This record gives sequence, structure tokens and C-alpha cells, in this order.
Amino acid sequence: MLTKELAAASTVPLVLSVLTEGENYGYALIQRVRELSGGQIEWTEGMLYPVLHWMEKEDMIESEWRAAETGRKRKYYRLRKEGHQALKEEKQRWLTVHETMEKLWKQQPRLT
Amino acid sequence: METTTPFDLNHAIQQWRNDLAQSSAFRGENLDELETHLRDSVVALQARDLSAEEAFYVAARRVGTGAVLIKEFGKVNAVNVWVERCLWALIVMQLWNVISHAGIVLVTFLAQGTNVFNRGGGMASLYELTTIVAVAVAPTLITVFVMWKLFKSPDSGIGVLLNWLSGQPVVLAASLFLMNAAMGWVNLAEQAHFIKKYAPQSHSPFPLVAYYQIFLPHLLVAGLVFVIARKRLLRKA
Repeated sequence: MLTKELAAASTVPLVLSVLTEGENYGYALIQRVRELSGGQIEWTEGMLYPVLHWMEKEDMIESEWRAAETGRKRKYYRLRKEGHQALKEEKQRWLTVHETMEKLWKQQPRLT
Repeated sequence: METTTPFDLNHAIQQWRNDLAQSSAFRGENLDELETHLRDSVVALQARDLSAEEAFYVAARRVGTGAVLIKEFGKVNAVNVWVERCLWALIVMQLWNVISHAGIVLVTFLAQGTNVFNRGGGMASLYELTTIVAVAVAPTLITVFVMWKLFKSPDSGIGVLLNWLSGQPVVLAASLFLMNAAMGWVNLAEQAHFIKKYAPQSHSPFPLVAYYQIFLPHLLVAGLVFVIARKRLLRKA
């Protein structure tokens, strides 16, 4: 299970990445991340929405209220051009961290 | 034999939403989105054989506690939070003013009754001391006590009344203005009576400007209360 801090830090890149699969709504975004992480990434679900609203203010994503198949209205989010760019930058940062750690851990096999 | 009330899911969800709606950290749209999320979660949990009641409590827990949600939503809706704070600050200021004026009226009335002004010396100092307590210290303590009680138990009579008033900009502004204007007028009338009694040779204590000095600031504050309360309603919608 991820620490709170790491889960919070990875929220934006995870949301951006899931939205590259197509538009989606909050509940389904959380389910997708849970499924992909094998239950390792668990958010306090309501806290995703302030992040989504912040991302919307930053023009990374846009949203639209639409009626779902249940008849209830749902807010769907989709990536904007700026979101694709932000994801590219996020990917670069996370890969840098990942590659650095991998090199270090290859040098120190006993750590694993 | 023990009887149990069947669990009403819609009622529970409405109650959960109403509790969150008490905070200025949420806009109406945020609550719609959270409610949709909660309902989706309840449906998914019920599909895993949980009862409606169990599913509701698990889903609500997963969405997060009120305090956590208020903190996080408050960051993205910071303007709402500040509008709410400004409104309450103005309400508290106006209530303080009413209590303070009531203090002046009361102390002056009692002082006239005991005729302290003709006794001089220590009695006059006692009058001044009592005035300071009645005009500044007591109203502050009373206002702080009332606000503390209100935040401790928002479902009390005065809490419900103030919450209702905060959703009625016209009624709120008008009642604050009328309370302050009435208390200001009583205070002015008492001073006039007092001056007439103890200094009958002085000029009219009731020049027209006195009315403006007392009523105009309250009118301006009432206008401000109306604007902020209305803005608050629109932002919460």
C-alpha cells in the first residue's frame, strides 16, 4: 500500500494517464486506478474531486455534466491539449525518479 | 417487543448531503458530484450483497469524513470560505453593537435612577467604570459566548434561526438594520432626556445630523450584509 504522501503526489499523473484512455467520471477513475494498482493505491475518494477541480482551473482537463444510463447526471472529465503536455512533463519526472532508483538498487542488490 | 425503523437510503443520503452543505467549502455542484459518487459506490457495494444500510456507511466512509472534505474543498473554493467569514464577521459586529447600545441604555437608566450624577466623586467614577463594562466588556463576552454556543450546537434554536437568516439576504440585512436603528434611537432618546433633565440650558440635543450619524453607518453595513449574503447564496447554488 502506498503512503499517503506518495498517493497524493501521484494523483495528478495517474488521473492524466487514465484520461488518455478516454473521458471518464470521478467514481470510475478511482475504480480504474484501484484495478490497475491491484488495490495498492487507495485514495480517500472524496479528495479526488478538489484535485480534479484544481486540474480544471489549470486547464489540464475540462468537464461536462451529462445524464448517465441510470438517469442521474454525472460530471465527465476529459484531457485538454495542456493536459497532454502536463502528462508528458510528469512522465519525464517520474521516469527520472524511477531510473535513478533502479540504477541505485541494481548496485545494491542486498536492499531487495 | 422491540421495533426497528427500516433504513431509508434516500433519507440517509439527503441527511449526509445536508450536513456537508452546512459548510461554505462546497458549492452546490460539488455536492451533486459527491452525491452521485456516493450513490455509485452504494450500488456497487449492494451488488456485493451488502444491505442498503451497510453499503451507505461503507460508501460514506470511503468518500471521506466531513472535516477532511471541508479542508480539501475549502482550498479550491477559498473565495466561498472568505465570503462566509466576512458575512459572519459583519453579523457578529452588528450583534455586538446592539448589545453594546443596550448596555449604554441600561447603565444610563440605572444611573439616573440612583441619581449618581448629583453625588459626584466616587459614584461618578463607579458610573464610568460600569459604563466601560456595559459598553465594551460585557457585549464582547456575551457575543463570544453566543457564538461559541452556536458553533458547539448549531442545531439549537438560535443556530437554526441564524442559519435560516443567512439564507435570506433581505430579511437578514433588514433585521440587523432595524435592531441597530431601534437601539440607536432608544439611546439617542435617552440621552436627549438626560441632557434635558441635567442641562436644560443647552441647545437641542437632537439635531438632524445625530440621526444620520447613528443610522447611516448601520444602513451601509446592512447594504454590505445584503450584498455578501446574496453573493454567498449565488456561489453556493
